[in-house]
Amino acid sequence: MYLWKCWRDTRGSFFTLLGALLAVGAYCAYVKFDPFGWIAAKPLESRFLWQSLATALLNITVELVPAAGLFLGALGVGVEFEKGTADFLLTRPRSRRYFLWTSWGLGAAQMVVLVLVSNLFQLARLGSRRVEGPGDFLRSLAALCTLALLCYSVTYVMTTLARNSRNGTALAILAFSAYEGLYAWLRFWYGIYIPFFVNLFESAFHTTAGFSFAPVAGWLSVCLALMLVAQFRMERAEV
Amino acid sequence: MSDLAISTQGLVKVYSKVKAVDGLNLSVPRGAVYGFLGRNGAGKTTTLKMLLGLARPTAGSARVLGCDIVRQRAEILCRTAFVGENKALYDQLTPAEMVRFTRSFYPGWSDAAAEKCARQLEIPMQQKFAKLSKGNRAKVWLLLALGQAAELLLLDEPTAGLDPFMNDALLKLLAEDTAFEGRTVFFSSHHLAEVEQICDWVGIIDEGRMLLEARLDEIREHYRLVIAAGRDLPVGKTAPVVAAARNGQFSRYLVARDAEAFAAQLKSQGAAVTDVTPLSLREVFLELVRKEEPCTSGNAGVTHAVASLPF
Repeated sequence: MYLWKCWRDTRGSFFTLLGALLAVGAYCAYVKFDPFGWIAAKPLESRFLWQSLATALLNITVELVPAAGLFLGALGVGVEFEKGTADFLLTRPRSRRYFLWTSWGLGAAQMVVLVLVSNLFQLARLGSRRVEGPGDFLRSLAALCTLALLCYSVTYVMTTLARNSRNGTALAILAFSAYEGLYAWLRFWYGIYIPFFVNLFESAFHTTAGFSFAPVAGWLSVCLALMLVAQFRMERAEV
Repeated sequence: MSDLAISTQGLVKVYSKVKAVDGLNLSVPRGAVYGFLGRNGAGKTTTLKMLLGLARPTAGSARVLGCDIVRQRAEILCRTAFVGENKALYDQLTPAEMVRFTRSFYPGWSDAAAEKCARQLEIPMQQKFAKLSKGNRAKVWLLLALGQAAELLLLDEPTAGLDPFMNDALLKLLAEDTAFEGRTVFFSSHHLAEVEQICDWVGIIDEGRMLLEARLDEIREHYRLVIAAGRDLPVGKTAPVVAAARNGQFSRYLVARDAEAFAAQLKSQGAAVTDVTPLSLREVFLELVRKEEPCTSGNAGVTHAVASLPF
Protein backbone atom coordinates (compact mmCIF):
# COMPACT_ATOMS: atom_id res chain seq x y z
CA MET A 1 0.00 0.00 0.00
CA TYR A 2 2.92 2.35 0.49
CA LEU A 3 3.70 1.84 -3.19
CA TRP A 4 0.11 2.87 -3.95
CA LYS A 5 0.51 5.97 -1.81
CA CYS A 6 3.77 6.87 -3.59
CA TRP A 7 2.00 6.41 -6.91
CA ARG A 8 -0.80 8.72 -5.75
CA ASP A 9 1.80 11.34 -4.79
CA THR A 10 3.82 11.21 -8.00
CA ARG A 11 1.34 10.29 -10.70
CA GLY A 12 0.42 13.93 -11.39
CA SER A 13 4.01 14.89 -12.18
CA PHE A 14 4.61 11.65 -14.04
CA PHE A 15 1.56 12.00 -16.27
CA THR A 16 2.38 15.66 -16.94
CA LEU A 17 5.89 14.74 -18.08
CA LEU A 18 4.63 11.75 -20.05
CA GLY A 19 1.89 13.85 -21.61
CA ALA A 20 4.41 16.48 -22.68
CA LEU A 21 6.56 13.78 -24.26
CA LEU A 22 3.62 12.20 -26.06
CA ALA A 23 2.40 15.59 -27.29
CA VAL A 24 5.82 16.29 -28.78
CA GLY A 25 5.86 12.78 -30.26
CA ALA A 26 2.42 13.27 -31.80
CA TYR A 27 3.47 16.60 -33.27
CA CYS A 28 6.67 15.12 -34.70
CA ALA A 29 4.80 12.13 -36.12
CA TYR A 30 2.32 14.45 -37.77
CA VAL A 31 5.11 16.53 -39.30
CA LYS A 32 7.05 13.44 -40.36
CA PHE A 33 4.24 11.50 -41.99
CA ASP A 34 1.91 14.40 -42.91
CA PRO A 35 -1.15 12.12 -43.21
CA PHE A 36 -3.45 14.76 -44.72
CA GLY A 37 -0.83 16.37 -46.95
CA TRP A 38 -1.37 19.77 -45.32
CA ILE A 39 2.31 20.40 -44.65
CA ALA A 40 3.32 19.30 -48.16
CA ALA A 41 0.88 21.85 -49.54
CA LYS A 42 2.61 24.69 -47.69
CA PRO A 43 5.36 26.85 -49.17
CA LEU A 44 8.95 25.62 -48.80
CA GLU A 45 9.84 28.11 -46.02
CA SER A 46 6.82 27.11 -44.02
CA ARG A 47 7.56 23.39 -44.43
CA PHE A 48 11.12 24.01 -43.31
CA LEU A 49 9.88 25.84 -40.24
CA TRP A 50 7.52 22.97 -39.27
CA GLN A 51 10.24 20.38 -39.71
CA SER A 52 12.87 22.40 -37.87
CA LEU A 53 10.50 22.93 -34.99
CA ALA A 54 9.74 19.19 -34.80
CA THR A 55 13.44 18.27 -34.81
CA ALA A 56 14.28 20.89 -32.20
CA LEU A 57 11.40 19.86 -29.94
CA LEU A 58 12.32 16.20 -30.12
CA ASN A 59 15.98 16.84 -29.39
CA ILE A 60 15.13 19.13 -26.50
CA THR A 61 12.68 16.57 -25.14
CA VAL A 62 15.31 13.83 -25.16
CA GLU A 63 17.72 16.10 -23.37
CA LEU A 64 15.08 17.18 -20.90
CA VAL A 65 14.27 13.64 -19.77
CA PRO A 66 17.20 13.59 -17.30
CA ALA A 67 15.94 16.94 -16.01
CA ALA A 68 12.65 15.19 -15.18
CA GLY A 69 14.72 13.46 -12.49
CA LEU A 70 14.86 16.79 -10.71
CA PHE A 71 11.05 16.83 -10.47
CA LEU A 72 10.48 13.22 -9.55
CA GLY A 73 13.50 13.00 -7.25
CA ALA A 74 12.07 15.84 -5.19
CA LEU A 75 8.96 13.78 -4.40
CA GLY A 76 10.73 11.09 -2.40
CA VAL A 77 10.36 10.01 1.19
CA GLY A 78 12.26 13.12 2.40
CA VAL A 79 9.15 15.17 1.67
CA GLU A 80 7.39 13.40 4.55
CA PHE A 81 9.50 15.50 6.93
CA GLU A 82 8.59 18.70 5.11
CA LYS A 83 4.87 17.94 5.22
CA GLY A 84 4.94 16.86 8.86
CA THR A 85 3.75 13.33 8.04
CA ALA A 86 7.02 11.61 8.97
CA ASP A 87 5.83 10.85 12.50
CA PHE A 88 2.84 9.04 11.04
CA LEU A 89 4.75 7.11 8.39
CA LEU A 90 7.71 6.19 10.56
CA THR A 91 5.49 4.79 13.29
CA ARG A 92 4.12 2.19 10.87
CA PRO A 93 5.65 -1.24 11.47
CA ARG A 94 8.03 -1.29 8.52
CA SER A 95 11.72 -0.54 8.33
CA ARG A 96 12.70 2.90 7.18
CA ARG A 97 14.70 1.41 4.37
CA TYR A 98 11.48 -0.18 3.07
CA PHE A 99 9.91 3.26 2.69
CA LEU A 100 13.04 4.69 1.14
CA TRP A 101 13.61 1.99 -1.46
CA THR A 102 9.92 1.60 -2.31
CA SER A 103 9.49 5.26 -3.15
CA TRP A 104 12.85 5.40 -4.95
CA GLY A 105 11.99 2.27 -6.92
CA LEU A 106 8.70 3.67 -8.15
CA GLY A 107 10.35 6.94 -9.21
CA ALA A 108 13.14 5.04 -10.95
CA ALA A 109 10.56 2.99 -12.86
CA GLN A 110 8.81 6.20 -13.91
CA MET A 111 12.13 7.63 -15.11
CA VAL A 112 12.79 4.50 -17.17
CA VAL A 113 9.34 4.77 -18.76
CA LEU A 114 10.00 8.40 -19.71
CA VAL A 115 13.38 7.52 -21.21
CA LEU A 116 11.85 4.57 -23.03
CA VAL A 117 9.11 6.71 -24.55
CA SER A 118 11.52 9.41 -25.67
CA ASN A 119 13.85 6.79 -27.11
CA LEU A 120 11.00 5.13 -28.96
CA PHE A 121 10.59 8.34 -30.90
CA GLN A 122 14.14 7.89 -32.15
CA LEU A 123 13.38 4.30 -33.06
CA ALA A 124 10.30 5.47 -34.96
CA ARG A 125 12.68 7.76 -36.86
CA LEU A 126 10.80 10.85 -35.80
CA GLY A 127 13.97 12.69 -34.82
CA SER A 128 17.04 13.72 -36.67
CA ARG A 129 19.09 10.88 -35.21
CA ARG A 130 18.84 7.51 -36.89
CA VAL A 131 18.69 4.39 -34.74
CA GLU A 132 20.54 1.59 -36.45
CA GLY A 133 19.01 -1.63 -35.20
CA PRO A 134 18.03 -2.91 -31.75
CA GLY A 135 21.61 -2.92 -30.43
CA ASP A 136 21.90 0.78 -31.08
CA PHE A 137 18.51 1.33 -29.45
CA LEU A 138 19.43 -0.63 -26.31
CA ARG A 139 22.82 1.03 -25.90
CA SER A 140 21.24 4.43 -26.26
CA LEU A 141 18.51 3.43 -23.83
CA ALA A 142 21.07 2.22 -21.27
CA ALA A 143 23.06 5.43 -21.47
CA LEU A 144 20.03 7.71 -21.23
CA CYS A 145 18.47 5.64 -18.43
CA THR A 146 21.70 5.88 -16.46
CA LEU A 147 21.89 9.62 -16.90
CA ALA A 148 18.22 10.03 -15.97
CA LEU A 149 18.60 7.78 -12.92
CA LEU A 150 21.67 9.71 -11.84
CA CYS A 151 19.77 13.01 -11.95
CA TYR A 152 16.84 11.39 -10.18
CA SER A 153 18.96 9.73 -7.48
CA VAL A 154 21.03 12.81 -6.71
CA THR A 155 17.86 14.86 -6.27
CA TYR A 156 16.27 12.07 -4.23
CA VAL A 157 19.26 11.86 -1.91
CA MET A 158 19.49 15.63 -1.52
CA THR A 159 15.77 15.82 -0.73
CA THR A 160 16.24 13.12 1.91
CA LEU A 161 19.23 14.90 3.40
CA ALA A 162 17.59 18.33 3.33
CA ARG A 163 14.16 16.92 4.34
CA ASN A 164 12.67 19.40 1.90
CA SER A 165 11.86 19.16 -1.82
CA ARG A 166 12.82 22.70 -2.80
CA ASN A 167 16.09 22.65 -0.90
CA GLY A 168 16.75 19.15 -2.20
CA THR A 169 16.34 20.23 -5.81
CA ALA A 170 18.53 23.28 -5.24
CA LEU A 171 21.22 21.14 -3.61
CA ALA A 172 21.08 18.66 -6.50
CA ILE A 173 21.57 21.42 -9.07
CA LEU A 174 24.39 22.78 -6.94
CA ALA A 175 26.00 19.34 -6.74
CA PHE A 176 25.84 18.88 -10.52
CA SER A 177 27.22 22.36 -11.10
CA ALA A 178 30.00 21.82 -8.58
CA TYR A 179 30.96 18.53 -10.21
CA GLU A 180 30.99 20.16 -13.64
CA GLY A 181 33.18 22.92 -12.23
CA LEU A 182 35.54 20.36 -10.72
CA TYR A 183 35.67 18.46 -13.99
CA ALA A 184 36.48 21.60 -15.97
CA TRP A 185 39.04 22.80 -13.43
CA LEU A 186 40.93 19.49 -13.37
CA ARG A 187 40.75 19.04 -17.12
CA PHE A 188 41.80 22.50 -18.26
CA TRP A 189 44.28 23.40 -15.53
CA TYR A 190 45.86 20.07 -14.77
CA GLY A 191 44.93 17.89 -17.74
CA ILE A 192 43.30 15.35 -15.43
CA TYR A 193 40.18 13.65 -16.75
CA ILE A 194 37.63 12.50 -14.21
CA PRO A 195 34.46 10.60 -15.19
CA PHE A 196 31.86 13.03 -16.43
CA PHE A 197 28.19 12.13 -16.55
CA VAL A 198 27.47 14.27 -19.61
CA ASN A 199 29.68 11.88 -21.57
CA LEU A 200 26.91 9.34 -21.11
CA PHE A 201 24.59 11.66 -22.93
CA GLU A 202 27.05 12.22 -25.74
CA SER A 203 27.77 8.54 -26.10
CA ALA A 204 24.06 7.88 -26.39
CA PHE A 205 24.12 9.78 -29.66
CA HIS A 206 27.38 8.39 -30.95
CA THR A 207 26.83 4.73 -30.32
CA THR A 208 28.12 3.67 -33.71
CA ALA A 209 31.51 5.11 -32.81
CA GLY A 210 31.78 2.50 -30.06
CA PHE A 211 30.03 2.20 -26.77
CA SER A 212 31.42 1.09 -23.43
CA PHE A 213 29.19 -0.18 -20.68
CA ALA A 214 31.79 0.65 -18.05
CA PRO A 215 30.57 4.26 -17.56
CA VAL A 216 26.98 2.97 -17.33
CA ALA A 217 27.96 0.48 -14.64
CA GLY A 218 30.10 3.10 -12.91
CA TRP A 219 27.40 5.76 -12.76
CA LEU A 220 24.78 3.22 -11.69
CA SER A 221 27.14 2.29 -8.85
CA VAL A 222 27.31 5.96 -7.94
CA CYS A 223 23.49 6.03 -7.84
CA LEU A 224 23.43 3.04 -5.50
CA ALA A 225 26.15 4.51 -3.31
CA LEU A 226 24.17 7.73 -3.02
CA MET A 227 21.08 5.77 -2.09
CA LEU A 228 23.02 3.98 0.64
CA VAL A 229 23.94 7.40 2.00
CA ALA A 230 20.23 8.31 1.93
CA GLN A 231 19.39 5.06 3.71
CA PHE A 232 22.01 5.73 6.37
CA ARG A 233 20.57 9.20 6.91
CA MET A 234 16.99 8.00 6.88
CA GLU A 235 17.60 5.27 9.43
CA ARG A 236 19.13 7.75 11.83
CA ALA A 237 16.72 10.59 11.20
CA GLU A 238 14.88 11.96 14.19
CA VAL A 239 11.43 13.45 13.85
CA MET B 1 5.92 -11.00 30.99
CA SER B 2 6.42 -7.70 32.76
CA ASP B 3 3.46 -6.05 34.50
CA LEU B 4 4.57 -2.77 33.04
CA ALA B 5 3.51 -1.61 29.59
CA ILE B 6 6.13 1.11 29.65
CA SER B 7 9.15 1.48 31.88
CA THR B 8 12.02 3.92 31.57
CA GLN B 9 15.15 4.22 33.65
CA GLY B 10 17.11 7.44 33.65
CA LEU B 11 15.96 8.35 30.14
CA VAL B 12 17.78 11.40 28.80
CA LYS B 13 17.42 13.32 25.55
CA VAL B 14 19.64 16.26 24.77
CA TYR B 15 19.07 18.50 21.74
CA SER B 16 22.19 20.60 21.16
CA LYS B 17 22.58 22.05 24.64
CA VAL B 18 18.98 21.66 25.76
CA LYS B 19 18.02 18.75 27.97
CA ALA B 20 14.50 17.95 26.80
CA VAL B 21 14.28 14.86 28.99
CA ASP B 22 16.48 14.60 32.02
CA GLY B 23 16.74 11.21 33.70
CA LEU B 24 13.10 10.23 33.38
CA ASN B 25 11.89 7.23 35.36
CA LEU B 26 8.46 6.12 34.27
CA SER B 27 6.37 3.05 35.08
CA VAL B 28 3.08 2.51 33.29
CA PRO B 29 1.19 -0.59 34.46
CA ARG B 30 -0.47 -2.79 31.85
CA GLY B 31 -4.15 -2.03 31.42
CA ALA B 32 -3.82 1.45 32.93
CA VAL B 33 -5.06 4.68 31.45
CA TYR B 34 -2.07 6.82 32.27
CA GLY B 35 -2.21 10.61 32.07
CA PHE B 36 1.19 12.06 31.27
CA LEU B 37 0.97 15.65 32.42
CA GLY B 38 3.29 18.55 32.03
CA ARG B 39 3.52 22.15 30.93
CA ASN B 40 4.37 23.07 27.35
CA GLY B 41 7.98 22.06 26.74
CA ALA B 42 8.11 19.77 29.78
CA GLY B 43 9.37 16.86 27.66
CA LYS B 44 6.13 14.93 27.05
CA THR B 45 6.36 14.78 23.27
CA THR B 46 10.08 14.02 23.31
CA THR B 47 9.43 11.12 25.68
CA LEU B 48 6.73 9.76 23.38
CA LYS B 49 9.02 10.10 20.38
CA MET B 50 11.75 8.15 22.12
CA LEU B 51 9.31 5.41 23.07
CA LEU B 52 8.34 5.05 19.40
CA GLY B 53 11.84 5.27 17.96
CA LEU B 54 11.29 8.68 16.39
CA ALA B 55 14.11 10.07 18.53
CA ARG B 56 17.16 8.32 19.95
CA PRO B 57 17.76 8.52 23.70
CA THR B 58 21.01 10.24 24.67
CA ALA B 59 21.23 8.06 27.77
CA GLY B 60 19.14 5.70 29.84
CA SER B 61 16.95 2.84 28.77
CA ALA B 62 13.29 2.13 28.18
CA ARG B 63 11.07 -0.82 27.44
CA VAL B 64 7.68 -0.75 25.77
CA LEU B 65 5.56 -3.91 26.15
CA GLY B 66 8.73 -5.62 27.29
CA CYS B 67 10.70 -4.60 24.17
CA ASP B 68 13.78 -2.43 24.19
CA ILE B 69 13.05 0.84 22.41
CA VAL B 70 16.37 0.91 20.56
CA ARG B 71 16.78 -2.73 19.53
CA GLN B 72 13.16 -3.87 19.08
CA ARG B 73 11.58 -0.89 17.41
CA ALA B 74 9.73 -2.91 14.76
CA GLU B 75 8.02 -5.12 17.32
CA ILE B 76 6.99 -2.10 19.37
CA LEU B 77 5.47 -0.45 16.31
CA CYS B 78 3.50 -3.62 15.50
CA ARG B 79 1.87 -3.62 18.91
CA THR B 80 1.49 0.11 19.51
CA ALA B 81 -0.85 2.73 18.09
CA PHE B 82 0.12 6.38 18.07
CA VAL B 83 -1.67 9.69 17.76
CA GLY B 84 0.85 12.41 17.01
CA GLU B 85 0.96 15.96 18.19
CA ASN B 86 0.76 17.83 14.90
CA LYS B 87 -2.11 15.82 13.36
CA ALA B 88 -0.72 16.08 9.82
CA LEU B 89 -1.62 13.34 7.34
CA TYR B 90 -1.70 13.02 3.57
CA ASP B 91 -3.67 15.94 2.18
CA GLN B 92 -4.76 14.20 -1.01
CA LEU B 93 -6.18 11.13 0.69
CA THR B 94 -9.63 10.80 2.23
CA PRO B 95 -10.07 9.22 5.68
CA ALA B 96 -11.45 6.11 3.91
CA GLU B 97 -8.27 5.89 1.83
CA MET B 98 -6.17 6.49 4.92
CA VAL B 99 -7.92 3.52 6.54
CA ARG B 100 -7.09 1.35 3.50
CA PHE B 101 -3.50 2.54 3.63
CA THR B 102 -3.04 2.00 7.37
CA ARG B 103 -4.87 -1.33 7.42
CA SER B 104 -2.25 -2.82 5.13
CA PHE B 105 0.40 -2.50 7.84
CA TYR B 106 -1.54 -4.29 10.58
CA PRO B 107 -2.70 -7.91 10.29
CA GLY B 108 -4.88 -7.46 13.36
CA TRP B 109 -6.69 -4.40 12.02
CA SER B 110 -10.27 -4.13 13.29
CA ASP B 111 -12.75 -2.77 10.76
CA ALA B 112 -15.45 -2.91 13.43
CA ALA B 113 -13.45 -0.63 15.76
CA ALA B 114 -12.68 1.77 12.93
CA GLU B 115 -16.32 1.90 11.81
CA LYS B 116 -17.50 2.45 15.37
CA CYS B 117 -15.04 5.28 15.81
CA ALA B 118 -15.98 6.88 12.49
CA ARG B 119 -19.66 6.71 13.41
CA GLN B 120 -19.36 7.98 16.95
CA LEU B 121 -17.00 10.80 16.07
CA GLU B 122 -18.94 11.71 12.90
CA ILE B 123 -15.89 11.65 10.66
CA PRO B 124 -16.50 12.66 7.02
CA MET B 125 -14.86 9.61 5.47
CA GLN B 126 -15.01 10.74 1.84
CA GLN B 127 -13.60 14.23 2.25
CA LYS B 128 -9.96 14.89 1.43
CA PHE B 129 -7.76 15.34 4.47
CA ALA B 130 -6.67 18.80 3.29
CA LYS B 131 -10.25 20.00 3.56
CA LEU B 132 -10.89 18.65 7.05
CA SER B 133 -11.05 20.92 10.07
CA LYS B 134 -8.41 20.66 12.77
CA GLY B 135 -10.82 18.76 14.97
CA ASN B 136 -11.68 16.28 12.23
CA ARG B 137 -7.99 15.70 11.55
CA ALA B 138 -7.50 14.78 15.19
CA LYS B 139 -10.43 12.38 14.91
CA VAL B 140 -8.93 10.69 11.84
CA TRP B 141 -5.70 10.11 13.73
CA LEU B 142 -7.65 8.53 16.57
CA LEU B 143 -9.66 6.42 14.14
CA LEU B 144 -6.45 5.07 12.61
CA ALA B 145 -5.04 4.36 16.07
CA LEU B 146 -8.13 2.57 17.39
CA GLY B 147 -8.50 0.52 14.22
CA GLN B 148 -5.11 -1.05 14.83
CA ALA B 149 -6.49 -2.88 17.89
CA ALA B 150 -3.09 -2.36 19.45
CA GLU B 151 -2.07 -3.41 22.95
CA LEU B 152 -0.85 0.09 23.74
CA LEU B 153 -2.18 3.46 22.66
CA LEU B 154 0.26 6.36 22.81
CA LEU B 155 -1.68 9.56 22.48
CA ASP B 156 0.00 12.94 22.28
CA GLU B 157 -2.62 15.54 23.11
CA PRO B 158 -5.32 13.70 21.17
CA THR B 159 -8.07 16.20 21.97
CA ALA B 160 -6.24 19.27 20.68
CA GLY B 161 -8.57 21.25 18.42
CA LEU B 162 -11.75 19.42 19.38
CA ASP B 163 -14.88 21.24 20.54
CA PRO B 164 -16.18 20.30 24.02
CA PHE B 165 -18.85 17.98 22.61
CA MET B 166 -16.40 16.04 20.46
CA ASN B 167 -13.83 16.14 23.20
CA ASP B 168 -16.31 14.40 25.44
CA ALA B 169 -17.27 11.87 22.74
CA LEU B 170 -13.62 11.05 22.12
CA LEU B 171 -12.84 10.56 25.79
CA LYS B 172 -15.93 8.38 26.18
CA LEU B 173 -14.86 6.28 23.22
CA LEU B 174 -11.38 5.92 24.64
CA ALA B 175 -12.68 4.97 28.06
CA GLU B 176 -15.08 2.37 26.57
CA ASP B 177 -12.42 0.99 24.30
CA THR B 178 -9.97 0.53 27.12
CA ALA B 179 -12.53 -0.93 29.50
CA PHE B 180 -13.65 -3.61 27.03
CA GLU B 181 -10.37 -4.37 25.33
CA GLY B 182 -8.15 -4.04 28.39
CA ARG B 183 -5.48 -2.16 26.53
CA THR B 184 -3.07 0.36 28.00
CA VAL B 185 -3.47 4.02 27.17
CA PHE B 186 -0.64 6.48 27.63
CA PHE B 187 -2.19 9.88 27.32
CA SER B 188 -0.12 13.04 27.12
CA SER B 189 -1.93 16.25 27.89
CA HIS B 190 -1.92 19.49 29.76
CA HIS B 191 -5.70 19.51 30.10
CA LEU B 192 -6.18 18.27 33.62
CA ALA B 193 -9.94 17.94 33.44
CA GLU B 194 -9.82 15.35 30.67
CA VAL B 195 -7.09 13.43 32.43
CA GLU B 196 -9.22 13.35 35.58
CA GLN B 197 -12.14 12.18 33.47
CA ILE B 198 -10.58 8.99 32.12
CA CYS B 199 -7.19 8.27 33.69
CA ASP B 200 -6.48 6.02 36.64
CA TRP B 201 -2.76 6.80 36.81
CA VAL B 202 -0.97 10.11 36.42
CA GLY B 203 2.63 11.11 35.93
CA ILE B 204 3.61 14.76 36.19
CA ILE B 205 6.74 15.81 34.36
CA ASP B 206 8.55 19.12 34.36
CA GLU B 207 11.85 20.09 32.75
CA GLY B 208 12.24 16.50 31.64
CA ARG B 209 12.03 15.05 35.14
CA MET B 210 9.27 13.02 36.71
CA LEU B 211 7.89 14.97 39.62
CA LEU B 212 5.10 12.66 40.62
CA GLU B 213 3.75 9.29 39.56
CA ALA B 214 0.75 7.91 41.39
CA ARG B 215 -2.72 6.48 41.12
CA LEU B 216 -5.32 9.19 40.71
CA ASP B 217 -7.41 7.72 43.54
CA GLU B 218 -4.41 7.87 45.79
CA ILE B 219 -3.91 11.57 45.02
CA ARG B 220 -7.53 12.33 45.74
CA GLU B 221 -7.59 10.36 48.98
CA HIS B 222 -4.21 11.02 50.54
CA TYR B 223 -2.46 14.03 49.01
CA ARG B 224 -2.63 17.14 51.17
CA LEU B 225 -1.16 20.62 51.17
CA VAL B 226 0.30 21.50 54.54
CA ILE B 227 1.11 25.15 55.22
CA ALA B 228 3.13 25.96 58.27
CA ALA B 229 4.71 29.07 59.75
CA GLY B 230 7.94 28.90 61.64
CA ARG B 231 11.67 29.33 61.50
CA ASP B 232 14.14 26.76 60.21
CA LEU B 233 11.48 24.38 58.96
CA PRO B 234 12.81 21.66 56.64
CA VAL B 235 12.19 22.13 52.90
CA GLY B 236 13.69 18.85 51.71
CA LYS B 237 11.68 16.31 49.73
CA THR B 238 11.94 13.37 52.11
CA ALA B 239 8.97 11.02 52.28
CA PRO B 240 6.10 11.66 52.62
CA VAL B 241 6.83 15.16 51.27
CA VAL B 242 6.56 15.33 47.47
CA ALA B 243 7.26 19.03 47.11
CA ALA B 244 8.25 21.74 49.53
CA ALA B 245 8.77 25.47 49.21
CA ARG B 246 9.43 28.33 51.56
CA ASN B 247 8.39 31.93 51.28
CA GLY B 248 9.38 34.14 54.16
CA GLN B 249 8.30 32.43 57.34
CA PHE B 250 5.72 30.25 55.57
CA SER B 251 6.55 26.79 54.29
CA ARG B 252 4.32 24.76 51.95
CA TYR B 253 4.46 21.00 51.76
CA LEU B 254 2.78 18.70 49.31
CA VAL B 255 2.41 15.53 51.34
CA ALA B 256 1.64 12.15 49.78
CA ARG B 257 0.25 10.42 52.86
CA ASP B 258 -0.16 10.76 56.63
CA ALA B 259 -0.60 14.52 56.41
CA GLU B 260 -1.90 14.77 59.96
CA ALA B 261 1.14 12.96 61.35
CA PHE B 262 3.40 15.20 59.27
CA ALA B 263 1.60 18.30 60.60
CA ALA B 264 2.05 16.99 64.15
CA GLN B 265 5.74 16.50 63.47
CA LEU B 266 6.02 20.12 62.28
CA LYS B 267 4.20 21.30 65.37
CA SER B 268 6.66 19.38 67.51
CA GLN B 269 9.43 21.40 65.81
CA GLY B 270 7.74 24.63 66.92
CA ALA B 271 5.85 25.38 63.69
CA ALA B 272 2.34 26.77 63.58
CA VAL B 273 0.41 24.66 61.06
CA THR B 274 -2.10 26.98 59.44
CA ASP B 275 -3.69 24.64 56.93
CA VAL B 276 -3.98 20.99 55.93
CA THR B 277 -5.99 20.91 52.71
CA PRO B 278 -7.02 18.09 50.38
CA LEU B 279 -6.03 18.80 46.80
CA SER B 280 -7.48 18.22 43.38
CA LEU B 281 -5.24 17.00 40.56
CA ARG B 282 -5.08 20.53 39.21
CA GLU B 283 -3.84 21.87 42.52
CA VAL B 284 -1.28 19.11 42.87
CA PHE B 285 -0.08 19.87 39.36
CA LEU B 286 0.23 23.58 40.05
CA GLU B 287 2.01 22.94 43.35
CA LEU B 288 4.55 20.75 41.61
CA VAL B 289 5.33 22.74 38.49
CA ARG B 290 5.16 26.23 39.95
CA LYS B 291 8.46 28.01 39.45
CA GLU B 292 7.92 31.05 41.65
CA GLU B 293 6.35 31.37 45.00
CA PRO B 294 3.33 33.63 44.55
CA CYS B 295 2.01 33.06 48.06
CA THR B 296 2.83 35.66 50.64
CA SER B 297 0.46 34.60 53.32
CA GLY B 298 -0.41 31.45 55.12
CA ASN B 299 -3.85 31.49 53.49
CA ALA B 300 -2.52 31.14 49.98
CA GLY B 301 -2.94 27.39 49.95
CA VAL B 302 -5.17 26.10 47.22
CA THR B 303 -6.24 29.51 46.05
CA HIS B 304 -2.80 30.80 45.17
CA ALA B 305 -3.73 31.23 41.52
CA VAL B 306 -6.50 33.63 42.45
CA ALA B 307 -4.44 35.32 45.17
CA SER B 308 -1.73 36.16 42.66
CA LEU B 309 -4.11 38.12 40.43
CA PRO B 310 -3.42 41.88 40.44
CA PHE B 311 -6.44 43.13 42.36
